[in-house]
Amino acid sequence: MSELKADKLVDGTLAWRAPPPPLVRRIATTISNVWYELRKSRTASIGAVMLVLLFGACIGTPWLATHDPIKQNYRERLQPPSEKHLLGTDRMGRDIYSRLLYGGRRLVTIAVVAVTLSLVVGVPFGVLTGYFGGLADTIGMRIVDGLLAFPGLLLYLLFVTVAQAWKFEGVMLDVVLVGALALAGMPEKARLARGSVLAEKQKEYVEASRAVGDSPARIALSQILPNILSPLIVTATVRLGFVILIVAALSFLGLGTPPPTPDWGSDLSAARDYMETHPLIAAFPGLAICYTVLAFNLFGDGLRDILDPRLAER
Amino acid sequence: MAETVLALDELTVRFRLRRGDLTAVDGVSFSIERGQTFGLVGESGSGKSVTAKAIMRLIPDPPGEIPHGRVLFEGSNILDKSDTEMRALRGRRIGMVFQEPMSALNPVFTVCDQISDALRTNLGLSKAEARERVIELLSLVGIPSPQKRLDSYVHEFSGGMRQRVMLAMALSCNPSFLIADEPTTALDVTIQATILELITGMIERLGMSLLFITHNLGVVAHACDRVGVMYASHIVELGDTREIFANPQHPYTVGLLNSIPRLDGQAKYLTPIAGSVCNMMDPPSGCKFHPRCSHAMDICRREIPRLKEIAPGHLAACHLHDRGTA
Amino acid sequence: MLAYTLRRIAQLIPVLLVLSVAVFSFVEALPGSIVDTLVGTEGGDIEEARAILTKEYGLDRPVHERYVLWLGRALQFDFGKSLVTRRPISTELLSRIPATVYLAAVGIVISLLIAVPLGTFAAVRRNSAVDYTAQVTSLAGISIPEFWFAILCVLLFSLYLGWLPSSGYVSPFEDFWGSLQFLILPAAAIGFRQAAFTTRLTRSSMLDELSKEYVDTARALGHSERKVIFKYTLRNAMIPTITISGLQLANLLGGTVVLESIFAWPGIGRAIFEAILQRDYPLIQAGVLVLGCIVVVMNLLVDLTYRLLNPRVTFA
Repeated sequence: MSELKADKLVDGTLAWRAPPPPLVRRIATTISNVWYELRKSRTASIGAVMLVLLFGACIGTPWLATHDPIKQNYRERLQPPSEKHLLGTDRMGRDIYSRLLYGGRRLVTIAVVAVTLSLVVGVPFGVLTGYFGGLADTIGMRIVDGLLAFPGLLLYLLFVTVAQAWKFEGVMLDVVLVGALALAGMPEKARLARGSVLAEKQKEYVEASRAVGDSPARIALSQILPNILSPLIVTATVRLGFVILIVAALSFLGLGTPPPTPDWGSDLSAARDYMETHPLIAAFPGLAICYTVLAFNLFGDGLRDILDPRLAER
Repeated sequence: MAETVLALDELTVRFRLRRGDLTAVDGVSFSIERGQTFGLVGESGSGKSVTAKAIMRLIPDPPGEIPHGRVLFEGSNILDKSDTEMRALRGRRIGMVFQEPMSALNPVFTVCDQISDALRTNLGLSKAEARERVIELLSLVGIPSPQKRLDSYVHEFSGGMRQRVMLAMALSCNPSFLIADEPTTALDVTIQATILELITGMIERLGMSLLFITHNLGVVAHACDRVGVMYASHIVELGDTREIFANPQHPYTVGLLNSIPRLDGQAKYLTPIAGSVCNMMDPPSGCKFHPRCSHAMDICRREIPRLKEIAPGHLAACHLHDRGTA
Repeated sequence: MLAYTLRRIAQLIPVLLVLSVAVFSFVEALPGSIVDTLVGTEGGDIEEARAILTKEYGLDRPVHERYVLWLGRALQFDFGKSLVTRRPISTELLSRIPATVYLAAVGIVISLLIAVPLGTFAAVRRNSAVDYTAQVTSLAGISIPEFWFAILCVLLFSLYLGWLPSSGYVSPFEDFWGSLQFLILPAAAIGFRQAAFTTRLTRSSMLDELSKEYVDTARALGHSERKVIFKYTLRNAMIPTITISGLQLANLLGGTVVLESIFAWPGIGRAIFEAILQRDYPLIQAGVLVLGCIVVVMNLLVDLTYRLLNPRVTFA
């Protein structure tokens, strides 16, 4: 609904614009413009700073961590924050600060890979079904609807159950999780892409490329894709925060990676038993999740304002 | 001389935007007498719609503000009135017709709901009385079989019919003064004339006064007794319609007249005005029209010309008249 | 309207088919045969039981026939027996649905009670302190994981203040007031989180609507500012809000797994979660299918409501 509305509001001269420059240059200019424009939105700049810190921490984890995140030390159980243990220790005497770093690194990696994958699958899916229309479109959209019929966590629960039944461990479990997340995130991107394609399809430059004799698939991916880039970037950013919430919720339920792997969700779950006496243990993973999700949401929100001129004055 | 219904006195409207201040209406003065139709003409962005909204006190604040000036309606200053006093004026004393009926009418209420709510609020009619009156109003503005259309939504009407509904709504509480803000612009050319005639006919029949806002000088010639020409938030020429058409004094008015096609048989090339409307965020110094004016002189760049009476009842704001050259 | 509704219902069929295939293939994707799992629970002569079960589940037939068989039974609401409780799955699920509906509905009502006034006020007093507070709070609300928020609520209201029980459930039909005290925490946890989304939406659609000309028309007709906002503008701005709340409700009916397990709320989400822990595969399968159907039907109802609320949308 919203993309149609935006399209109507775009000034009528758009259709007469020259065909867009090649994809690579388009992305390069978009990125450089985004950096320039970021300063216009306070939300986006705060989000960007938070994200830079987050990714910095993820990349620098091996150097920033002070302890082995898995090594237990029963002599130092449930300690308050100190010079040795910046955020204290958990019930096994493990350093919470180091566990947060390693857990975050894993969580952010899973989220980024899953969202990238959902883009890689969803966008061509939507672009192609939208472009070809007809039977391909009908079947494609019914598949998307079917996937959307799984409410909340159910789709992930099914995947995780199967993975557990096969006794998957470690990386394999993560792979299944990423697959499920990508599959669940795909419909959103497919619909967005399809909607934009249906709108863009009518415009002159697509007609022009067709007249020149470009193949339909080439037109669909090389001409239309750059035009739907900005809503996709926004959706993907917001989705990243959402995916982190899902992964954390799954491991909170005990359906994620089994201990002792550092994980914000399962650490939080484990800390519940000590909540009354040591509330800080539960506070740190929760705050870490909040920070990360907030960073993505702020950045996504700000990006939306910048990329959608209709909302700029808001 | 007849009684003055509305008088604007040096009305100024300014918007404080993030990028800077914008003066949308700058020292505008004119008056409208009872039974008279006054046309306010100008290009889009010249400030004519803002003037209309200022009269109705519909300028959102922030960002809008009215730093000085008065709007005298039947002798009292509208800008000094309390919100309650203002509400008593709106609808009951001053009606307003907007440009785009599709967006000016509420999409989720039926036509009857919208009009009868105004009737019940302002005139205290009962539900049944209001319904009767709506039927009466709809047939008054020429909507066929109003009983059937009563409970329709706006989107179920055609463009011309929507504007008729809008007019019925504006007239519903018997105002003595009507503001019509480009009422025909959004309509098909074929319907424009019908609606225009409907409005002027109603005004005459009900003995109302009208402020008619348009960018179309041709419409003014048909409908209005007096005309004010606006350019870049200033009134540049003001006078009787006949006088202005026969003897335009401001180069902008001349330009406007030369750019409308004539139907009286005189073969003549249309001459558009060179250049385009100035950027209101950063207006030129002096006379706002000088960058587009073929008669521009040094003084035009330095000083804003003031409205001066050239003939009885005919005013123009142009430095050419200081030296008596025009 | 009727024709449109019928067509939309017809469109549901392929969606439900996709859903059923997905759910069916879930059990197919499990390692080993379901009979192996079942046999252990039945006791008695293993070989005989195996043969009976193989026949009963049609495991001697090809996959597509099994699917048709399974679907046929599912359409009659026959999902077999739970591996754990030995009771029919349909009874098991039906007994869990009221608790979920109760929690989700109250949660959405709380969310609307917060979001609509707050979002409207924030839009009307744009850039005021209230607006900024509303925006910051709702952004924070979106970013807080619901389970953490729930835990913090338990910590504060049950453990520190001792006002409310930390978990449990009493049916409102047995003891209405008693059930409220268990309901408050989980429903508020749902309500606040959903309100974070709805407040933002209400605010932005209210801002959208306030910029439209019909607002000035209503003012120009002499209506009070309160009426202009709460009658004429809000009615328009509520259309997306109601729509989203309906979708949220649909999602909650199938998605409160986390909160139901934190608060030991005997809803359908928790039933599925327990089934996962106990490897009660037929129950998982049936539960997901039922919830999926509820969501699909709810989405249709939301769509129809949206069209009823919004006279501009035609039923073409």
